[in-house]
Amino acid sequence: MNGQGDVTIKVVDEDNGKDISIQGGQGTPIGTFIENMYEKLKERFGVQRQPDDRLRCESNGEDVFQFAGLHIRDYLAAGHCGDLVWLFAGGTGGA
Amino acid sequence: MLARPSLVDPEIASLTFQRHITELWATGRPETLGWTLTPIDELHVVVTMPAIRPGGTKDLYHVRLGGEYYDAHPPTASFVRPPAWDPAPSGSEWFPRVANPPWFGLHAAYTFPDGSQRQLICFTFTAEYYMVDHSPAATVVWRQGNHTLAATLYRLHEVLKPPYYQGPSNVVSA
Repeated sequence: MNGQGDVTIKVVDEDNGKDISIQGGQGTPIGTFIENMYEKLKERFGVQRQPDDRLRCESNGEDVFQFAGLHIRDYLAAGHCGDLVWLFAGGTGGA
Repeated sequence: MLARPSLVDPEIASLTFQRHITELWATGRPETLGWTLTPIDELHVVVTMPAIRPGGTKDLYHVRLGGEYYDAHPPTASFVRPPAWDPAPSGSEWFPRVANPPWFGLHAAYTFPDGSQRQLICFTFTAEYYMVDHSPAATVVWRQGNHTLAATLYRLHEVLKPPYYQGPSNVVSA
C-alpha cells in the first residue's frame, strides 16, 4: 500500500513487452517519476525521449504526462491510476 | 519513401520470432490480459485477444502474426477467422470496427502496389505497412533491437478497447 511510504510504479514498455519499476516518496512529483522512468528505459533498452511518446495509466488509459507537476500523493488522492501501472509507448505511425 | 521489406533467412527469422514470443509470454502479462497463443508453424502464430465494446461487452479476435521479415521488419499481421486462419472479411464477426486513432488504420481490402487486394492493418509495427507507399517520421519507424512483436500486439490490444473499439463488423451498432 502507498499510504505513507515509498510508492512503486510498474512501467510496461509496450515497444518490447518488458517492464521496469520506479520508486519515490509521497512528495515526489510525477515529473520526477517520469525522469527516472526515462533514465531506466535508456539504461535498459536504449530508449531516447521523443515528443510523440505516450504514457498512459493502464486502468483508465489516462495520459500521465499531463500530471507531471503533481506530487504522487496528490495524484493518487485524486483517484488517478490507483493500480500504479503505467504503459509506455514510443511514437507510432499509420492510417 | 521507405524501402520495401525483404525476406529474412527463415531459420534466423524463426529463432528471433519464437524467442520474442517466448519472452513476451514469460512476462505473464499476455495471460493476465486474456490472450492465448496458438502456434501454427515456426514462423507463424495466432494470438487470440479479447476486445471490449463501449458498453463492456467482450468479443474475441484472432491475430495471425508471421515472421517472414522479422525482425529486420515488424511481423506480418492480420485479423483471421477460425478454423483455417484465413483473413477475416469485413462484415464478419472476426473483423473489428475501430474508430481509428491518428496512428492506426484498418482496411479489409486494400489495393497493394502489386495490384492485389488484401487486408491491411496499417501502422508502423506491421510488415504490411512497409509494403505500401508511406513516408513516416523517423521516430515512428520500426527499429530492430528496440521494437519487438510485443509492440504490434500491444497497439492492437489498445485499439480493441474503448475509446477506439466499436464492435464486430457484422454488428451495426455496439
